[in-house]
Amino acid sequence: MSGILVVGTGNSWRGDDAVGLEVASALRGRLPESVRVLATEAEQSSLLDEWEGCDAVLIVDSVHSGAAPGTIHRVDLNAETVPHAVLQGSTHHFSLGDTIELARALKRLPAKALFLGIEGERYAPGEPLSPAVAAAVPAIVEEIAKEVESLL
Amino acid sequence: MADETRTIKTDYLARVEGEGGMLIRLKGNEIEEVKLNIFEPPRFFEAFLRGRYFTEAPDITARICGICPVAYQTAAVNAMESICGVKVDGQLRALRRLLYCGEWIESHALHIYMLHAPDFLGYPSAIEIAADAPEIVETALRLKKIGNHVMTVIGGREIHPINVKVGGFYKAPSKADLEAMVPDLEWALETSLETVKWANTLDFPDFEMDYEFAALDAGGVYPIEGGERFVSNRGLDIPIDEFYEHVVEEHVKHANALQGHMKERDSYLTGPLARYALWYDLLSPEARGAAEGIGLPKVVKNPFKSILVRSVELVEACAEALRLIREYEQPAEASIEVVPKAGAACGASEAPRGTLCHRYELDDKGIILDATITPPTAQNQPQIEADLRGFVGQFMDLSNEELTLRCEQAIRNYDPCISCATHFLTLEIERT
Repeated sequence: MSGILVVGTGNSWRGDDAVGLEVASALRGRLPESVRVLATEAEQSSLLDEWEGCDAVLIVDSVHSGAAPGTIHRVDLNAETVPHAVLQGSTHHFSLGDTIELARALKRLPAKALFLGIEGERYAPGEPLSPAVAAAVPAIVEEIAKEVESLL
Repeated sequence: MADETRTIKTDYLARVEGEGGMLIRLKGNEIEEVKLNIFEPPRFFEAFLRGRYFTEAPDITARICGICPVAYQTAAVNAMESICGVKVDGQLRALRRLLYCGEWIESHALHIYMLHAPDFLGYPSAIEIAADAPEIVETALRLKKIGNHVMTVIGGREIHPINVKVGGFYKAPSKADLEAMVPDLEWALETSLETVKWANTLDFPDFEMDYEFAALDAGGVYPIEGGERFVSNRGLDIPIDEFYEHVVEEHVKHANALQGHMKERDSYLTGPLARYALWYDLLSPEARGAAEGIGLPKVVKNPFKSILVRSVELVEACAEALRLIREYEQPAEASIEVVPKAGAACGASEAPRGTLCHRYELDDKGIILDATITPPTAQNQPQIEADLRGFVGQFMDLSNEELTLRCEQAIRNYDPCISCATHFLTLEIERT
């Protein structure tokens, strides 16, 4: 499969909200060169343009659903919607959940679209990642690396 | 009914960036309380800036907001250049204005079509519009993409543009780089003219407020990337350096944010309605023609019609971008040298949602000793509450459900950006 995009998103200033960006950063050099890795704090609907023409997109963000911090949520976006509870706390103007559902309505979701959410614990300005969330980063990096390998 | 207490409340106010909420408490026909809770991260960025080198301010402040990074970095460079006694002019200034037009296109298109339109069209969100009328959302996305592209070509990266520096740019684009954007911008101009006509087909509540409109005075051009003075329709006319002598920020109990008031005056409005009312005559012929085409008066006092004015400003941004590209000559140097000086100054710019003011104090080595940032939403918050009070007073007979929707819409009239906030917006209306 060609045209694989891995997106890590979040807000680098808001504690565990930065975990998607951290994962994207940790993935640099871990994946084949043909795979594009994007760390973005952009307004989320612009992601539609980022994955335009891609065969597969893997999206990583922090989530807040009440599960234990560091819990990894995995959602096959072509088979199911993102549970509202998981993404209700998006920091972003047009939220990631909105963007995914908008892409579905406009038939602009890639053939393979996977969401990986990491349960956050704290979101105070200027806070570093909480220990449980930081500890989950290597596991999710491994999961993405395996996922990408299975797609190639 | 007369002694019934009603609470109008939402726990989550959608389509506003960040978090916040609204509570309106009515007793019979009396409004007991109107509270807009917007949780801004308290002064985190200002504290973070202290001790940093002055050239870092544009990059740090650009990260405050994913929607208007250019507004933040432009206000920061304007302030730093003022302190250091440098004036960025000519083609470098034109490039800043062009970069800023990209941000206006992106932000206004997003708000008009994807955040505000659902209120008028009776949809919960743009997702449901996409199912029924995908062309509306596709139009918005294409306009946004063009705005983002302008920001990428000049700013280096559309989110947190990295090419902007105190004194100018790290690299100036070639004329050919800019001319390559002309076909897209011509499409955007045509589409924005259609947007004005489309927005005029929407239904607006019959509601007006008597506003004090405040905006930058950019010295003979429509204010976008800066202005030396801050003026209003009620006689305010001050150098931007005196901003904090006239605007006081108060910490209000119900919101974890500072709200701006004019000293010895009431609330005021900043943003598209204010820029348009104060500087109508400086709009491009295209934008003025679009306003005239729908019979839009030179002063608009119905805040729900901000979507019309925002559409006119979308025309302005597209027409202005094309003009700037036509007249562009690549400068020999991408920036001018700026040597730090001890001192303090304000710098401002017109973010899509209103005037954004920064104030910095530097020591003689260029280290930031103090920083104050006043975003447009902090200034508009008291005015949003005044609008809610006025609106609820006039439309009290609506059902709670309808009143809640209209009040949410009244907040979105301001395109409030609770930048860099986290989660959870709550809104409530109480009636007893």
